[in-house]
Amino acid sequence: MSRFFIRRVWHSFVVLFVVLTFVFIAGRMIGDPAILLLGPEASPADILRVRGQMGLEAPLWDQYVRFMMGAVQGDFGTTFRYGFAVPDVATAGSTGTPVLPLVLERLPATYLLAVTAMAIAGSIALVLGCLAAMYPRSVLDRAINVISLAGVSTVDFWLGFMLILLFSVQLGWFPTSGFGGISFLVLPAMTLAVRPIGRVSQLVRSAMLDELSKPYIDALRAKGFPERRIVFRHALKNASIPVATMVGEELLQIVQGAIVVEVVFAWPGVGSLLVTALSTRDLPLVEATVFILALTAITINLIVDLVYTRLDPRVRFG
Amino acid sequence: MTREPQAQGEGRVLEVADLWVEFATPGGTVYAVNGVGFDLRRGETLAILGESGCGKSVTALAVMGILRAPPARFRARTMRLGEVDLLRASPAEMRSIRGARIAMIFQDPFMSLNPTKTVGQQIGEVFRVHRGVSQAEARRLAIGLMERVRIPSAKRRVDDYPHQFSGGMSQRIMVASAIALGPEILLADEPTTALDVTVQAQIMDILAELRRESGMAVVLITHDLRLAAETAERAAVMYAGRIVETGPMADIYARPRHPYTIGLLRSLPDDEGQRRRLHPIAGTPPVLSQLPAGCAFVPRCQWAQARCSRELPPMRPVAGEQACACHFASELTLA
Amino acid sequence: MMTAIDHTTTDDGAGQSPGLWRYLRALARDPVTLLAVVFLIVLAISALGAELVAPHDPTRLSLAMRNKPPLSPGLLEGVTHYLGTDELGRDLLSRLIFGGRVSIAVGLIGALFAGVFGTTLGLIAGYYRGRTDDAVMRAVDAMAALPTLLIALFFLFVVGAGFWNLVIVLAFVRWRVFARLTRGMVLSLREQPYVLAAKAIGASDTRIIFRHVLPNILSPLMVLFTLEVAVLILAEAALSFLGFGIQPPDSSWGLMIARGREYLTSAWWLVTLPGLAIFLTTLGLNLVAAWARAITDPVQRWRWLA
Repeated sequence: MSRFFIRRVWHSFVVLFVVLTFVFIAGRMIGDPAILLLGPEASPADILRVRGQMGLEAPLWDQYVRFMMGAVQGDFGTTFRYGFAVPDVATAGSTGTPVLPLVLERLPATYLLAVTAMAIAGSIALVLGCLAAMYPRSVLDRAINVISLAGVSTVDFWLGFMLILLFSVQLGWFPTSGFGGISFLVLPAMTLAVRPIGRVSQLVRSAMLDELSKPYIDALRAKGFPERRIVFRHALKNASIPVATMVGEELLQIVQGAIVVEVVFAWPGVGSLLVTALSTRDLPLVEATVFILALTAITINLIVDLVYTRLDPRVRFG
Repeated sequence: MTREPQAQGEGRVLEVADLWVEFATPGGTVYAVNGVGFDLRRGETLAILGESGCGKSVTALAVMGILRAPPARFRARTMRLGEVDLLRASPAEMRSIRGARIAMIFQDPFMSLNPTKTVGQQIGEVFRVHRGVSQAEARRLAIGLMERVRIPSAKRRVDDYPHQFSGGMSQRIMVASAIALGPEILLADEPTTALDVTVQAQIMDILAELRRESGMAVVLITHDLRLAAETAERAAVMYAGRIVETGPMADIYARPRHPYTIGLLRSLPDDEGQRRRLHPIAGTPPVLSQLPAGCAFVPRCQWAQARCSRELPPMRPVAGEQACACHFASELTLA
Repeated sequence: MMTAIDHTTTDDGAGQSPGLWRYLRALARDPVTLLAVVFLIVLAISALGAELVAPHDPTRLSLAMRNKPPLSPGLLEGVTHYLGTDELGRDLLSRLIFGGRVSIAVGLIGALFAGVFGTTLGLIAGYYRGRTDDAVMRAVDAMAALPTLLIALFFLFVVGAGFWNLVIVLAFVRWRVFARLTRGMVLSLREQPYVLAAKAIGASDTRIIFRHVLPNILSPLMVLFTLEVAVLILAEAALSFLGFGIQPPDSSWGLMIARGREYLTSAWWLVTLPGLAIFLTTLGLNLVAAWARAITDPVQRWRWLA
């Protein structure tokens, strides 16, 4: 267990290191950050001064080390553009807002959205998958199959617009966009939940079918246990083991779905911040956002792997 | 664990007559059990003998009422457990009978246990469901049962998981949970087939001991004629979903009448373990979706006549309690 | 208990390899999948022959005809804009047909690149094992640990938007799916008796891979390819919607949704219809893939082909 744990954490660090290296290389590939900051019309003198302030005159290797050291300390530099209309040539590069806090203050909103969507998706998918597996090849099973395929095929951001049209514009039940009470959360979370419902319900169904076809289910029936107990107390827990290995993947899907859905609903999360940063070519902000999202994803994977070992006694002792 | 005698009429605890089971598959209907009937007397051991696929396990599952339907369909003229008509029992009544009055153990003990629950939980769960006892009480009772089936250091092992036990120990755990509520009948479906020979003997000893103590009747489903001969008082030999020969085990073993039973006996190495030529039965069992009109054993039978493929031989008494479904039963002897 | 059934399963279906005819017959008995296949065929025809199929020039502007709802009569006698017009008065049906060509092309070409690259690496990794395998699987695991869309967005930010950049970036983020599947299947195949036998008689690695391994993993790969086309069409839509995919004057379904967004409340069809087109296309692909998987799986096949 502990050796597995250490190796698993080590792998996560390696991935994070590679991500940061890629981010650094890519950041230097897109052109001179000083021009990116000041715009193509800036004077050569200004560019030279800003290059000096940003440490761009140093050898690339040196810059890389400084970038990595900064990243470890959570210092990705200051924003090029965020929060002000026109970059101030005089102060640019030295006095802007540090980007990491900008990202971190957006994080809770994204987590709230993702966790809500996962909870909605997980509970609905569990019910659908179990129902389909309890009555295999029935009309119910076929209907659930089509529903889940439709879920998988959904264009989530488009669904968002459709929900806005129906529930906000036509019925006026929920606000169209923004952040606030629960009413603001409903539509984006529903939008984000639809695709995972499709995937997870299929997973639950096939895992449950596998489990229900095993000999120990016959043995439990032979003991006179009620079907409900057999399905929910025995089979479901075992079926959740293969499903749990996919939860990490699902959460990643939700995080990446959140990037688009946040834009649709103007949800003030990391996803919409990333899109803003990319569109305005705000390099430090892009770097910090990508880092935080990658860190989130890697942490999710790590936690899921560790939870998995708790679920299955064979892995725990193995 | 003694039980008041409650079976009536000649002490029969289980009566099955004219049981039919079929499976609907896209490849056609599979006729797994075709008019099987047998009685089980109080405290006796009845062996149901036959090759795999002959319908003996399906018969047991049908009696338990746990066939998977669909694809299975079944009907029977009689199916009684003592005073209870199993054919009319509601699902809830069936559940209260299963595990309490009639229990079952399976071929592969390891696959028959839930891998993610401790063995103590799984044995104790029988008490929790049927008797509604507390968790602590269930655990205590589970330890007692584990000791009864002679699992060493039961107190320590009660919280272990199935994968930490050997095959023989796993089967003991299955036995423990099967006898938990002192059933009148235990259906043992190839209980030792997956186990080593020495472990086999231990399990059979435990079953014999439990039988002596509790007076429970056992249906031993097996392909192993020798094991049946050592354990059972009576036997029913099944072939292609039908019982082809039935009677006292000793009589069948000494004087088998049906060509199939004769074949089974011939394919055994002899008693002293000396080398002798084995005679396995030639050919393979019939496809159960395309059963012939006559005797299903014809293609493999060395005495078969034209009549055998036309007419299904009925069950006829041959000698004493022994009965056989062969047109020529009275003319055949073990060569 | 199950032995009785097993007899029939091995006797009917699973033992034989069903021909095209049996597949078609199975398809005819499955109306939902049949509908999906017909829809995809119509879609393919309209994408290939967009110039012939589209009722209007998708680029012809008409200020008088801006944001007209579906079934609006055109300016000329007898002309109908069946699906309405967009914010510049262009015929929406025609734009959907031409936009669909781009969306489908991104999906198909991207999946093809990803498939070829991923399958090759998967074959090499699974067949030769050792360090190559380690390296490939490390890369696969590392990429799987990150959200696909995040990597794609970041790379498009670096290399710039556009059709080919989009295709290459999508192939880059999805090759791992093919690599993992291929490797897994090769690992189990290479221990199969007939592969070992081929090795024993001295067949070359290339021969073994192309004659014995590849043919046996082709049907799962085709199913995965179908699924991946759907995944990539959805990814294209998302990336174009965010402004990092297809750029004007080109168009795609995703971009059409992005452009129609401003008119969500005044001209609902501008967002609704392109999204519906994506949804139906991916649903069709997913239905066909699910059906193909069931029918090519030896365990399940008999249920469908019996």
